[in-house]
Amino acid sequence: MPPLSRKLFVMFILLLALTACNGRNSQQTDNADIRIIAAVASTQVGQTELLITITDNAGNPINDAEVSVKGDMSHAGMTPVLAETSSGSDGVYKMPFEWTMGGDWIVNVEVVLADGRTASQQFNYEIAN
Amino acid sequence: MHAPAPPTNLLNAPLIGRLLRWRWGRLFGQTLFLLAALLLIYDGFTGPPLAPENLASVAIWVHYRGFLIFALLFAGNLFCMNCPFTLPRTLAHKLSLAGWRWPRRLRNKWVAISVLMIYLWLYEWLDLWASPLLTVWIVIAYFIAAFILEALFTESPFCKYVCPLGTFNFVSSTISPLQITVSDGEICRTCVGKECINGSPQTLGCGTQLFAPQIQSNLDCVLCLDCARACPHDNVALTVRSPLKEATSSAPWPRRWDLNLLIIIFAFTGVGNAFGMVPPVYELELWLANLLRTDSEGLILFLIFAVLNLALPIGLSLAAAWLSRALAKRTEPLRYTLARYAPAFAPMAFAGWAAHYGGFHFLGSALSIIPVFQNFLLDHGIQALGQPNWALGPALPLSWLDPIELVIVLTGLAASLYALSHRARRAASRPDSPIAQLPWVLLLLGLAIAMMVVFYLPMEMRGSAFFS
Repeated sequence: MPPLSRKLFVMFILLLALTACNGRNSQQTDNADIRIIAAVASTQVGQTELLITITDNAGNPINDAEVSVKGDMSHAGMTPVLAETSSGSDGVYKMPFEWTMGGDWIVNVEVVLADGRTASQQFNYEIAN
Repeated sequence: MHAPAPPTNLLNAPLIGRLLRWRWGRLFGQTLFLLAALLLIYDGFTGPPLAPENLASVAIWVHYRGFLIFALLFAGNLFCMNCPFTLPRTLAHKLSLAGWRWPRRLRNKWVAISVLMIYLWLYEWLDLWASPLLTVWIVIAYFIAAFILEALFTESPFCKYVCPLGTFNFVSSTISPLQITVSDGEICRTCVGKECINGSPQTLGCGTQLFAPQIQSNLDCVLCLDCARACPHDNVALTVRSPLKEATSSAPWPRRWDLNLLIIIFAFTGVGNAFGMVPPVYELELWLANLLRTDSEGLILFLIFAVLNLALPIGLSLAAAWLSRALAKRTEPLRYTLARYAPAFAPMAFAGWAAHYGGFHFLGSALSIIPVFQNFLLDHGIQALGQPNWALGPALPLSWLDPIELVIVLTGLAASLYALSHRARRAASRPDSPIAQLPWVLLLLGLAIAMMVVFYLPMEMRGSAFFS
């Protein structure tokens, strides 16, 4: 095989190998011991309220967690909507949230428990104008 | 006696002139862009799959497009100048697989128009803006396509006849303030080697086969400056000109269907591309889906964009040309009438894209690259820039964006109307009357209104399949 063709072949294989690496899990830690359920009061553009329910696997509510939420639109560059709270009651954490635009939203909920354990989960919403 | 001052030649400017003339100047710029492209490809494959968190999607769909608009508006075709896709050209030429000439029948803009249409359709159908992975596959496809065409053909057909980004840049750069020209035409007349186009053993000539003393337009000029480096008489100049020079020029504009329809199609695609992200397009999709009894979003979007981006501009511009010719009482071929007025659409066309990409996406998201880059570093164990502040995004208050877009569109409209009346006054044999300009004025007004309506609608960015 000529040297140049060999180099091109190696480059192609490297590219394919890189493709297989897809999906670095950016700063996310999932935890099978913690359950996160998200609900929203409205899926229309505008102000709404996010209800995040956190329980352990047995269904016992967890109230002493720090919950932070990052809502992203699917389009690159759109400023995310952020929210956080640390006051839960019966495992339910309420926080005001705003759908700033219609379209697909990806809401990532991150939870840090008092004992340092963390968990995160992603929820998808379709928001109407 | 007053003699007009010679136009400013940037190649003679202190610092910038030396940098532009530097033998390795283009290679340096291309290498920087190549390194950036490799970084984006890497993050596209390995980084967060969420588009707003990935360097590839943010840098390409927000920053590349934004900087492109500002570069075209304030300088010229700087992206083509530094284009990394043509960097493997030397390697491709070394391979010399075929050494063919680009087919004569394809030496026009029809292929470029087709590829641009396919690209815009894929952009909407596959939601490229929502997928870092697909975004970098597009980048890789560019590299491969440029490499193959360079290897197979002797000239640079990829840039001139195929590349959709090049097509975008070529048409837009007709309103740019920089242009290649020559200092003394007489020197060119007596020049034997014509190295600016033919090249020499030491330097390349013009890849897109433009002859410097005959250049009247930025169309097809990739601003590589190979002509300036090749000229043994140091006679090639990069001059500052009025951005409306081409739109108002009395020099004959090629009376080619492909070139003139390209400008008007480019104007309509500016609206069509933005229309792909407002609520009415989803209602239209549903209506068509029910009408055609199909759930193929690709097919439905293809039909929508075939009408908006092709059938409508071609049909309306032919109708305007026919009516204008009749009102002017001329007997010329229709393409002569089209060629008289189509260049006047360039400012309006650029304004549409500038309002969308520069005004909305870039100004509304310019700072988003900071947390994305911080996050990239953190994911690789580098904490030098600290934790990402995801709240960073808009470069200006969001409430300013709509008025800015409105000003851009109205400026484009005013420039196009001015160019239109200028071209009418200087029409061959006799000026065209205002009534003969009316069909074109109405077409421009219609375009401007469509842009304003679409830009003022709430955007709705759906990255998932509509029919899911």
